[in-house]
Amino acid sequence: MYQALLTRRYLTSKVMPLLASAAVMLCVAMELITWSVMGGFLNQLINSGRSLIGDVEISRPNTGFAHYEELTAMLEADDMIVAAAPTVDAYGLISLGGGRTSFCNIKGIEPDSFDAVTGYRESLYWKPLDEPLPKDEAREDPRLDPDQRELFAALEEFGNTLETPEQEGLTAKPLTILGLEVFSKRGLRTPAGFVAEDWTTQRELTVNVLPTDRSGGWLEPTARRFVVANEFASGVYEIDSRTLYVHLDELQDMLRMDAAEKVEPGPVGIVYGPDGEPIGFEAQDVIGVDPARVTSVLVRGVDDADLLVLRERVNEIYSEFAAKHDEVPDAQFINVLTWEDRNATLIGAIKKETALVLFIFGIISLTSVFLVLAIFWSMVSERTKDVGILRAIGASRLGVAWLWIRYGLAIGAVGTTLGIGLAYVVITNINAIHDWLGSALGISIWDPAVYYFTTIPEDFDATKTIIVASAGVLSCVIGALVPAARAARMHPVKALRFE
Amino acid sequence: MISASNISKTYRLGRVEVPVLRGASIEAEAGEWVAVLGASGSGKSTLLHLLGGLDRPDRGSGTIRFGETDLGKLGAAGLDKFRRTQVGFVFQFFHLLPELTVLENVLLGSMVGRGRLGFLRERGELTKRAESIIDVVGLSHRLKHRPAELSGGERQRVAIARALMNDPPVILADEPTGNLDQKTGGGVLDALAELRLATSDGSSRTMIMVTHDTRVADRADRVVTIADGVVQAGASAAETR
Repeated sequence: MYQALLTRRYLTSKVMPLLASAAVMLCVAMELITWSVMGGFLNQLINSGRSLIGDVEISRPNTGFAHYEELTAMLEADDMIVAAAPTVDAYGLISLGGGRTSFCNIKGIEPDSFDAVTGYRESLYWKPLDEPLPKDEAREDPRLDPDQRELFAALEEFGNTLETPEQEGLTAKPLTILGLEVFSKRGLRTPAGFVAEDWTTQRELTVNVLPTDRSGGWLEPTARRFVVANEFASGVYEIDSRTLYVHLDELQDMLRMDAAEKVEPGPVGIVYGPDGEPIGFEAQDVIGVDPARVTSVLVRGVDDADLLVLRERVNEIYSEFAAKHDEVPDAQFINVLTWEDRNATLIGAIKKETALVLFIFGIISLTSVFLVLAIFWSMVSERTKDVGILRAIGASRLGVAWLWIRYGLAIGAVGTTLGIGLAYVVITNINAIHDWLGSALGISIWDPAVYYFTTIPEDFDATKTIIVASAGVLSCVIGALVPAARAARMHPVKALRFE
Repeated sequence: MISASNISKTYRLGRVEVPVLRGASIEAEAGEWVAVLGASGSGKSTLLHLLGGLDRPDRGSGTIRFGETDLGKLGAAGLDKFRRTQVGFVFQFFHLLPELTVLENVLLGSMVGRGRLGFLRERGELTKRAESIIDVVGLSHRLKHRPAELSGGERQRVAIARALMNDPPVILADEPTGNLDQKTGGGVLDALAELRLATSDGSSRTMIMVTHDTRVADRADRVVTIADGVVQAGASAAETR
């Protein structure tokens, strides 16, 4: 009982315990902020896969594979799989005029199936908003403008379908959806997080791709004009700055991966006109159809599916599918990967980096143990007479030791609580703090081009908090152990005579 | 009641051994007030510490008995319990805990003796007892004050109240008036004398008080003198005079 009373009084009577608590607070906050941001970054990276490729991707780059409709149907018939979406991926050069060009990943999609797998429609940026973004207190987001509501609704619809609008008298051009960061409009982004001006939609751009034949040989480049129908923001900078979506049929056509008639190889006769001039080639006998191809089929599993089990199941289904078609590559020539598999090197590196940073900060935090030890050592010296008094009235050595350990525990608890509070405030406002550092001091730490995401993760994780808090309190107790042992070993008479 | 027989105590200051007590013996009967009169450095405080189980005599140098109990045979826990239950110390420099109030300082002994649950169970009764003792020493208006807000005499009264809180049969007082003026010291001695007689069973407490002041010693039933670590034969206070 006396330990509780004295702990309370000691805590509030001097500056020393406040200093110790402050040291613990800073260490706890530092660990928690670092872990939350790094861990949040890692989680975001892992989870972002689902909104980009679903859970598992079957892919054969460049040459692709045929009969994908059948494969998609087989996949969707499985209990573990919710949806499957064929896509075509190709690299290409896009030109927006005015000398603005960019090397991009062109993705051909069927909006319905792609949305079922990735939630693509959610990522469409230009659409009417009913409520402002949390930080847009002035309601300045153009998407809130009632006068533009109709326009943004139309843009959203274009994005939803990717179907060229039929307008009389106009040359219909295919539509594309551009990543929000492709033309580096970050300068137009307000601190509240919205783009102040729709700078891109309804403009035309040229997409240049390099098709290959079935065996992988290069063919003549293809160029086509598209109209930007909308933009998308996945939140992954790497994707938003390098990707544009077009309709699957369009890209298949450009890459010559669409269905084509097969004819007998051999010399082709020339057809001459009445004036003797050649006017064409002789029709050849069609001997079959070369089916359309895609480079990937994306798969979304049921919620909470074990991705490794799902990957195995997808592999099995593909093997069954390949066994039915001679022209489809065997499973061994196909990649069946989860997002984590695809980015294993990067994710592994980030995991290691997170562990390393935590280890280094852990070592730094060890200073709090020595700080508490030093402060407690000094406090025990200062309180020597108190120890003598307690021993004189019958307190045991263990009781005196417990007084100091308990005191360490209290300082740890106070410092840790404050540290968690500080970390919470910093983590939940880290983007605002970062914006302020940028505007007030010109310091920009988080570069989306380096860290993939346009915003810093703001995850405040309960498990991490418990672990860091326990470590904070424990380090204080450890720091208090030696001074506590010293107090317990004090001779009561010497302690009473201490000046 | 409590006795020491032929005890010695040597302190070591670096490589130098300083004998403080050399075969000292003393005895106090139940209810007796014995004054140990001696000059500064004569070993009287050391004797008191040994009698109160705060320290141990040199190995093999003699025995200290409390009733039938040989303190030399008690382990550390036994001595802790002995100090908690059988003796109450009053020191020259009061030795109050500066962060605690008067009431908390007095209750401290009962907190140490009972543990958290035991204390909380009896808290009401113990607080009443502490308040009544504080009332006897004339500080009921100072319950919430801290030692720094009290005069020397008041502090010593708090120390006396603390020493008596657990109703010990023996009081060991080390120059209780040594740090007070004559008038205040007299008041403190009055309080000690009054509370010595106020035991739960109606008997009076044994009190051994060390002092260098013959006027203080005069208040005792018997006075022994100590010089160079040896206790001289006791005489009644009247004989000493």
